[in-house]
Amino acid sequence: MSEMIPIFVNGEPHQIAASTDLQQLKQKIAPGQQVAIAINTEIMPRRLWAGRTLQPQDQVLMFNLVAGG
Amino acid sequence: MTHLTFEPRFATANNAEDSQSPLCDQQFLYYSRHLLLPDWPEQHQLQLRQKKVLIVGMGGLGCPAATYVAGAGVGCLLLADGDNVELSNLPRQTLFRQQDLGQNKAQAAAAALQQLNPFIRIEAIPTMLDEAQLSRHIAAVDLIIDCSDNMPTKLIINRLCQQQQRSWLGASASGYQGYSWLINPAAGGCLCCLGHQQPLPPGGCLQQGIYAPLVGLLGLQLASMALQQFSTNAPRYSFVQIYQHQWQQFNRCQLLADPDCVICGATTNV
Ligand SMILES: [Zn+2]
Repeated sequence: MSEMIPIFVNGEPHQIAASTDLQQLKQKIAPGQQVAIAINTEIMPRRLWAGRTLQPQDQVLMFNLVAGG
Repeated sequence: MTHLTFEPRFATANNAEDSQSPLCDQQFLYYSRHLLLPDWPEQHQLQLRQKKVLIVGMGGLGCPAATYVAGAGVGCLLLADGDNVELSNLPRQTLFRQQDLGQNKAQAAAAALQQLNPFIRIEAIPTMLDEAQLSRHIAAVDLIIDCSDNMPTKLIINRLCQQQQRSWLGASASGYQGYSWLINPAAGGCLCCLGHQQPLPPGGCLQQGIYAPLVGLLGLQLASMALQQFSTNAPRYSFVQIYQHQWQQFNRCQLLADPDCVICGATTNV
């Protein structure tokens, strides 16, 4: 059993395995979707997703820019 | 309220273009609540009078954005929209009245705004701008505010502003989702860094619906961000503000340049 850590995704609490990175989280939460990801106060280029390991209490926003107005 | 009678044409284009003339008495009154702010001297008001802003799209975002930019005394507004006012627009496109139904939005908005502020110059562009026209207008203004309702237009503005290294503001909304942004090419990052280059399904608010107060919030944010761009403490980085409806709040996230971005990546790597 790997250790679990608490994070927030779009404001909702989630428990994920420690050492999960952004790429793995995206696969789990939004598989096959085209999303942008912000973590805490920065929007991460996708090239960096695989190298960004999630830390306890990280605030993740996954979003898809919609057009309207 | 006061009984000041405004002569219809007593001060418009000529005053707006005269950089040296101080504010007249009516202008002092008109702008008085801003001029009372500690960091808003007459000099700042005169500087705003020299600014030229292009607003693309005069719908739910453009109406509130233009209202407050005009009210603050930005000297010249270019309003572009090829659409006509429809009944379903009235709940959130606050410059329009029933008598405007069927009228071009840019022209109806320009007329309404000129009533609100007779001291500035307002030009309506009643057509959908093509890329060449957009490029010319972008080169000729101090700031671009994208209030369009579709991704292709936003991506063209993004690309042109990147080419011309011009800062621009924009927003979009659908349903209860909303975003506003400042892109500063000199600081890095652009709309395409978000990875939405592929066209999204068309339809926008026609298919998704749209929460009317949200476009109002976004439009006011754009107006305030625009005024901040003309002040000395403008942010130097690019960012996106993401609306979260359950808390009715925005999260501001810095937009980091994606080295792989097809639009800004090459420039960034140089
Ligand atoms: Zn980019």
